[in-house]
Amino acid sequence: MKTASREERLEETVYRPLLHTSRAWYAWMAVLFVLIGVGFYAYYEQLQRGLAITGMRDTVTWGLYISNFVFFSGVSMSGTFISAILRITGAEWRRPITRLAEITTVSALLMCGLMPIVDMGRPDRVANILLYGRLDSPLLWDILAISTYLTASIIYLFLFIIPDSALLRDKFAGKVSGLRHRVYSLVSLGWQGLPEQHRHLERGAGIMMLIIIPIGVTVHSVVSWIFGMTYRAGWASTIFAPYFAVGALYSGTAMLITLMIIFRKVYHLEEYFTEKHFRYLSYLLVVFGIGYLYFTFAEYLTIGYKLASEDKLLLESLLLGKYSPLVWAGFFFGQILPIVWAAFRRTRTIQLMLIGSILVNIGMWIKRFIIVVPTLSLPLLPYEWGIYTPSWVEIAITVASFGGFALTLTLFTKLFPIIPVWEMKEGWEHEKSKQAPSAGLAAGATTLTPQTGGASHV
Amino acid sequence: MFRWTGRAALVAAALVGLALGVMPQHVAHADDPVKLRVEITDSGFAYNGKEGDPVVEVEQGKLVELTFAWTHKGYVNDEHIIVLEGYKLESDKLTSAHREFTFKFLADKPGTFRFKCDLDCEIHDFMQRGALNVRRGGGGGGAAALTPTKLNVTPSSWVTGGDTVALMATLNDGSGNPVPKAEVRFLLDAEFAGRKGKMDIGSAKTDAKGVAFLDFKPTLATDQYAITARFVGMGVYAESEQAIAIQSTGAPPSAYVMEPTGLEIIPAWAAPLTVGVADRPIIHQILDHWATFGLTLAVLAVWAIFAFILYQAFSISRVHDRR
Repeated sequence: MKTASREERLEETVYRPLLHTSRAWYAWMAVLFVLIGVGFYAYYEQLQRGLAITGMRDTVTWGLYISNFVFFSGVSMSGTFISAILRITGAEWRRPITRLAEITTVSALLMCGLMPIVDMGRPDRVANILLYGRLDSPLLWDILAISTYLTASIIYLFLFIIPDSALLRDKFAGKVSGLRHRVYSLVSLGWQGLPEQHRHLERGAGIMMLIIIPIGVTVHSVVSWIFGMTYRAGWASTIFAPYFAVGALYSGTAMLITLMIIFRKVYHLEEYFTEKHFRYLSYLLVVFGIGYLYFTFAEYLTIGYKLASEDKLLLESLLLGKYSPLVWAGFFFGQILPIVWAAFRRTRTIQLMLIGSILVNIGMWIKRFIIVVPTLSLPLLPYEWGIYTPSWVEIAITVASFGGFALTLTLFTKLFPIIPVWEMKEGWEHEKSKQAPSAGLAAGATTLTPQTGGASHV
Repeated sequence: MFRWTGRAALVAAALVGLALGVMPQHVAHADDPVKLRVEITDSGFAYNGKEGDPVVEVEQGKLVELTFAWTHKGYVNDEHIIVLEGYKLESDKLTSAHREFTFKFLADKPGTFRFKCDLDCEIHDFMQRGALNVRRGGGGGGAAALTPTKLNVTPSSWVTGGDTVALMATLNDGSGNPVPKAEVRFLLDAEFAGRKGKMDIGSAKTDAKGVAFLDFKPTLATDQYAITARFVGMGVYAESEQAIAIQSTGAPPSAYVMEPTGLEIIPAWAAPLTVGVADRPIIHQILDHWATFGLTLAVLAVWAIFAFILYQAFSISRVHDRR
């Protein structure tokens, strides 16, 4: 019996979910559509009855929506940023995980961009921002930054899909519907793996890798400045930009780990999402987590040391009062425990990493909530504290946004391979060329080496 | 007669001598201030006739009168304000018209403390430097001679609806004379995590009339504020403090209550004027809003790069295999 080569095994494993659809997949889609449908109904109710149907009032004007907005913007940091950094540094182990990282970014940014629109109450108010927005307002910076990052992430994802789409166009001819085949043909842009095509792709991808990193950092800085540039207790901070950026890397890495474990199990990718990938991502998680702990410590220490009147009230409510169960649970389960688990080899198992990475994101969501709500609840004059309890509408829309995030990922992985096949093959070619330098294939770590002929197109 | 007179004079002289011998001589008292004098000369500070960077020594616990004397011969227009660091003392301005200033203080802190001219001048920084060395231990006893002070915060109670309260503290010595240049700290009674303490809400310096102001805006969710104004002592002035209470009603003051207003159509002749803006050269308008233009340019540059990248991507479709 002939043993399949690793290239054949890769194609078999990665293309299987594109061609075969299980009942579980339909069931999963049904669940997502129900969740999203309920969300749409809730949004319809909100449009009909106004924002009064939410728990937001004149004191607490931001609630779950803006917490979700900050959370999704954080998750979006994972993908493109990590992918770009790993590509630039020539980390070979990146190859199987870049695609998942990139689509995670796009999915998260789509939900991130929707949240402020939902929060505005009337979607037509978006036009007011475009028509009357002031460039000296952090809110407008935010819209510019998010839209720029979303565009950049889509372009980035698109560039690296081109060769894979060409593979699918050729391999799936006659096996998929005509519409789907046309999509592959369209996205592949007539890719034949020619040297000149490689040159164009390399040029575009090379620039994109470089600029997407500062764009990503800008997004998280600008999101933080929405808070940091106001004179409110808990928000008026100079360290918010790096604090948010590190927090985004922390939650983004955790989300990537979660999704890798899930896709590994569902799509049988054990050969590609290996122990080494999880180990390296754990190292990143520990580094970002410790960085985030450091910023948290610095933030609370400086506030607590000065203990200005408003800060005192806020700190008391966060650490000892109404919000303390959330804060301490988020701190212990979202920061301490996952970092410890990821740091030690004995606890760095797949199961614990899955639980740990989910805990990180729950913890980081809580963190975003306690950044947004308690500060707004704090009275500016000696009145009662503002009260915020999310209504069913907000909860339904929040759940739907997570459903939308999952739906985008699910549909994308149904249409395109979750592992970049051409990049994997390119890596293997690099390996071969290193072993046999006389073969003449110059292989820079980040170059998209032109390969000739054949259906592989790499 | 004459002989008698001479004898009488001798006797008188002897009696006077006896009287002087028996009379108690003047003994330096522990409470007497140590008097020191530093001259400000053309070449810097001089102490005991020696030029250079003087080090003036006293024993801890002594009352000190440290005089700075303006004795310029060449630089007759020079002015100085001398500060004694560590003791937070600052002189009046010394000029040819106002030549001396004496710091009076209790040397209660041991150590070496710089004194210098505090006017911003490189030459002064370089030449007019000296130090007060307070030796540990010493006789002490000077504390008893400190001048008592009285701090008075007016009014002693307030009723506020959340608006700013102007705390006015007046610091006088025992004779009712104002104490200028003294720092008054204001402390708010607070509780955090079950621990009670005084929270610093600000400080102010007294003016020539001994008056210091601090604006305080109540923000704690309480209806009763206890504030302590404290003078920690300075120079020869003893510490003093006064506590006051502020009652917060929670209702906004009348200044915050406004009549409802409606929108009016502004006639064209009353529209706001934009005088000269349209006439200004475009480059001036750009300079006025350089940050906005810079941001716009940066965003456009990024999007232009995107366009270039997409151009590269779509160029792929134009490449055909010519083999």
